[in-house]
Amino acid sequence: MNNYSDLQDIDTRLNLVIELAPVGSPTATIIINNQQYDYPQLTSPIIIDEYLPLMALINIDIILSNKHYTLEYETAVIIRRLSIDNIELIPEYDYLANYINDHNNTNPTSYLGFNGKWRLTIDRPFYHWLHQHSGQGWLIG
Amino acid sequence: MSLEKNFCSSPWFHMRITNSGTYESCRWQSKDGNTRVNFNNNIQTISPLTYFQNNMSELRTTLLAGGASSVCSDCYTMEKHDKISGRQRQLLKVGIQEQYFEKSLASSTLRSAFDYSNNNQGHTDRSVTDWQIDLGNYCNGACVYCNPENSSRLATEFQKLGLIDQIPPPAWCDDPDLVDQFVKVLISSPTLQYLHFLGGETVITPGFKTILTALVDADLAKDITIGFTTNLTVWSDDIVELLKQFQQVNLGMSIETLTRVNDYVRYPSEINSVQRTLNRWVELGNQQDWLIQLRITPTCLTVHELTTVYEYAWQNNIAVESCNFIDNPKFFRISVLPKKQRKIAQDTLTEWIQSRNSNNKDKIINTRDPNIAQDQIIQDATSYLNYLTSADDESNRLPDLIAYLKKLESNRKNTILDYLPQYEQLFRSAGY
Repeated sequence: MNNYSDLQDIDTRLNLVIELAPVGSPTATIIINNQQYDYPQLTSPIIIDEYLPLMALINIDIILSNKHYTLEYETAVIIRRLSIDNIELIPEYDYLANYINDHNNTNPTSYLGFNGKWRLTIDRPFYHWLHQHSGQGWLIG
Repeated sequence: MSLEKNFCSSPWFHMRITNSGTYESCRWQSKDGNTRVNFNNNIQTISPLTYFQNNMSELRTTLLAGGASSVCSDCYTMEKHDKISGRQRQLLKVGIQEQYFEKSLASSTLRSAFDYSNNNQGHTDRSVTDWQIDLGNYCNGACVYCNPENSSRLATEFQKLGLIDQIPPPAWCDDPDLVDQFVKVLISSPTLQYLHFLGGETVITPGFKTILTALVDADLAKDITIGFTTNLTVWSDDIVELLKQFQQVNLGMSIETLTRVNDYVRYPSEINSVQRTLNRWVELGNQQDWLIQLRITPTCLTVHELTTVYEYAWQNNIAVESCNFIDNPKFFRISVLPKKQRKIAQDTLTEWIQSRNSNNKDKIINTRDPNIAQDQIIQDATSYLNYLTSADDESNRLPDLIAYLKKLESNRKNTILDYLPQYEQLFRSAGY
């Protein structure tokens, strides 16, 4: 950019990329804000590549369901990649995710082996959130 | 023109009042206001808010146009040598990070303020959030690289030695009416968050206590962070008790080395006493959870022993920071050291850096984060190593350095050779 006015010509949307890989054939759901993606039988890796408004607040839910522990011991969903604008959020920030599952296992993880919901909430504009969680100090304004 | 290289957010939330009461746009710009009273931009003639909102419009316009302002040259120099600049720090405070410049600018907490100024010839309707307050030159120290505008003791000495005709005029904060006027501005400011004080020696400057007391009495202390730097030769229980009432304190402690050469450079301090006071402030800072830093001004007399400060900081997990590479007096620049002496300083720094474990590869802009203090120390040490390696040779200034030191020594009855015997041959060859 040569000057501030050039900012108006730039695509400032956030590029969100999620890549999931199955272990076995899990039933998985991804919800990004109100957009839902259902995978009744996930048999190969999938990539979701979405654009969101720069100042959007973001909820990302990744849900594993219908797992029968006695029959499908090795069934799981692995979050291989979660990035915004090529900034990798996994594994650095997976401790900020809320993992609620039927085994009450709340350890930070990107390996979802239990029926339940893994949720990452970006509760302020993404770059403000990143500023806070990467220890960049106070924010004026 | 390059917005990314030149833009700075500082003029949207920060300004400075210098010793003379003259306003300046930034704490990192050269301190003309200490020596040149500008009555067009002075507390005696216009309000700080008018200066901030209107008189700084030209600077904001230049920056929005992607231009480089002459008042920002120190920051550009620092960035050239990979030293964290004031510009980078000020950008970070509004959420703008170099590596994501466009997107973080677009989502900056001050985006609407930038838009407003871009559409209104640089004007802003904001008020000051972050103040640099220069309290005058009242100081018990006379550091060799300092000047009469920042040390009353040095001013007296300069006059005695015939280096100046007159001592600097009284500072704005020696006038109780102006202090009262200024305090009213602070109290009525809706966005005030940070006040950084500079002396002289802040702890013994009456204006420091007056302003802190007024903010406590106005019940504002709990929302404000205070920053100040002390020379480690004084202590005041009264000041400490006032500081404890503020939301946060950023404490800077000036020191050059933890060896005897510190006594010569930071005359007339005494290193054992300085170290005791340093330990006392560090203990207090840790108790109060203050952000503490060692502040250094490396010169050609101290750069070779800089690692003693880094080592203390490393052991105590304290960040080390210098504002700028020293520019004036020119003969104190590190680059005045000839190649051979530079190489010794380089080797010492290199050895120290390599002996530490730091795997950090990211540039640390938030140098006050205590969680990464050790990485920050390495970064600072590396910036001086880079400077030693790449700065142009200025050893032609050595005779000026020697002439100046001899002049001071004629009054102080000391000799640099007692502190730096290893430089005897060098100094003799330059006229000592």
